[in-house]
Amino acid sequence: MSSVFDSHQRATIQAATARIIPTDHDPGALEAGVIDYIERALSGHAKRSAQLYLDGVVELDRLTLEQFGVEAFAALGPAEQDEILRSLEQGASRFFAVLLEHTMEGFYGDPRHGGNKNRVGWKMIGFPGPSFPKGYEPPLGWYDANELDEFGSAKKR
Amino acid sequence: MSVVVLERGPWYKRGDFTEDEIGFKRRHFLWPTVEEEPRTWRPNAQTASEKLSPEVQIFSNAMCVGAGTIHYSAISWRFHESDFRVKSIDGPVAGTSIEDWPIGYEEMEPYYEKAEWTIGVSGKGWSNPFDPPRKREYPLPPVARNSAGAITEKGCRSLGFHAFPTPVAILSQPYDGRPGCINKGFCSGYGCPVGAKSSTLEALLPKALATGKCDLRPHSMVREFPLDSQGRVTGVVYFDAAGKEQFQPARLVVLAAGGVETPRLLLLSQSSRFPHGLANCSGLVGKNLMLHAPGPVVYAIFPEPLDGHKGSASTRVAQDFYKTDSRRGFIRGGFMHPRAHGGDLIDYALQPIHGARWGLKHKDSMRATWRYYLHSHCTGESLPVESNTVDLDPEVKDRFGLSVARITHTNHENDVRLAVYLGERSKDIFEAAGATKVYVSAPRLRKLHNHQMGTCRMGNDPERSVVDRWCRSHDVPNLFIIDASVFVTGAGLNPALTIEANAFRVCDYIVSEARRGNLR
Repeated sequence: MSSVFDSHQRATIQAATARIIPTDHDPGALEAGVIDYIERALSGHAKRSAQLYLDGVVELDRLTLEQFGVEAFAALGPAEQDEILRSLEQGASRFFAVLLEHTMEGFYGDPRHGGNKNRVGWKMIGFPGPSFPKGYEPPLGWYDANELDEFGSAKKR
Repeated sequence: MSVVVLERGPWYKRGDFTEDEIGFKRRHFLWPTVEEEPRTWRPNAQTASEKLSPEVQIFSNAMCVGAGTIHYSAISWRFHESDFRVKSIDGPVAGTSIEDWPIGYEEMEPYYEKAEWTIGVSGKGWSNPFDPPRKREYPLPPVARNSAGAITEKGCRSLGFHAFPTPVAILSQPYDGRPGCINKGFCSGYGCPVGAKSSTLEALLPKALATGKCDLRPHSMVREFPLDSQGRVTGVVYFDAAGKEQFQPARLVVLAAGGVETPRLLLLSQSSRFPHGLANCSGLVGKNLMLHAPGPVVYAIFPEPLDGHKGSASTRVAQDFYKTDSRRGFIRGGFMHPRAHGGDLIDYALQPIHGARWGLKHKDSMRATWRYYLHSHCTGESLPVESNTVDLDPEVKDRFGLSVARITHTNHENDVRLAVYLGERSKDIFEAAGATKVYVSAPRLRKLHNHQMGTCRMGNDPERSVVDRWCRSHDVPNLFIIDASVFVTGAGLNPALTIEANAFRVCDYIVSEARRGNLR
């Protein structure tokens, strides 16, 4: 199965995802492999959006040339890349809207779909992953543990 | 009596239900796809219709055995006495088609009890000061309270409202051969791999199949109901799993395809006797569609962790905003249900609550608040409006070449005022409970909803209703409808338990009529 992106397109989209969820003291979209999630989605469930992405790469490079006189979005520094993405967003770009959704899916979604490698997204926010078949015993969170329960705990009938 | 059940979707099992937000909520595993089973919508008859997007399509019911009861939050209400008598108590209202139901709470009460005990509903009887009268306790004690519930209790208590355990069709302990809930989250919007959510798949179907008199056929899309020379249905024409047309003869047909698909099927069955669709002499098939008020979604963040990925969804609610108080500027009411989000990570990431939609600020917010948030829905009554309809789209067809349902719907202004009110009261409750940030969305424009009601309304007058008090078609003596199409008004409550109680009531009638030889 040939991939959806050539190497330039892949590098461009990867760079965009890395601005949407940057790396700081925690992993970001880069480490999570969001680009792999997107490529897999675009050859499967989201194949109808593949052309939107290819056009989006062209648009990112075009805006980069126009605003910074540089040929490729992927070659810009992060602050400049943010500026380009903001102008796309403010122009209500459909490509940007889909990219944003896919980036969140690829970072916070189940790794079985190709992103969130090593559960880095889940670890960052404190989600331990699916719990079936074990589940959880109460108390579940701080408030049900500490606030008055007028109705008492469930008693077996 | 033997029964063939035709379901147009697949027959999933517990093992199919995984904790996968992408699979279930982003890729709509349970739902019909917009490519294969599209629907269209327009706000009114003067505007061109548009195809529904996948995001709106998911805001409907699943297409599989068990349908909405697979993925619902399982909130299981008895309607109030007043819910059956809105015209007498609150109506009429300009621009609406409010009527009283031809039945009342008293007739439904034993069937509510039967439904609660048959499917397994957990709750605390007599804890809701606004509940209608009940004779018997729930079969199961309330499910484990989650932090969203504790917050609701705290906020309500400080404002003088009366929170109580949400009655839910989720087993709080083993019952009827099924295990109790394990609080794993991924509840609302997902199927239950444990078997603790009392879907019809878990709670009713196995009993029916065990009689040996029930044959369930999934992937069976009904297309038409042929008639004999006396105007009785002779059976059902459907496409089987291989897409081949089949005919199933039947003495009696019971429609339960929901408030959108049931009228669609009737309208598709046109004949010389019924040129406007089967059982449609009144002209009301498809009319008076109710989708509940356009309730906002409310997100609230708190100083301590709720860990909303644990627990079932709704564990405490209040009905202090239910009864009509015309000083509020609208009639009728509803309630809000703060919930454990159950594992909605991507959904939370996409909400406009973080101060930014992407970048470092967004990442900081996710990191700092994901364990500390709840979301809450507002369910409010929508008034019936005759021009809110389901009919056949003149152009768009599904994968079988059948005209799809076209929804024409705009909420009455009473619904909108009610929805806004519930959002504001939600904010009050969360702030009283110590929320550091509350976001109330705009009222959600209703193109479709999980609660689809009113399109084949019950009534005593055949010219002003589609089915009689027994949910039997006025025009076709061997055709019954037992989904929420028959609702005359929609109440401000989740409809599932009422649909099930009514179905038990109608089945008792069908059986007694059959015994008397009245169902020929």
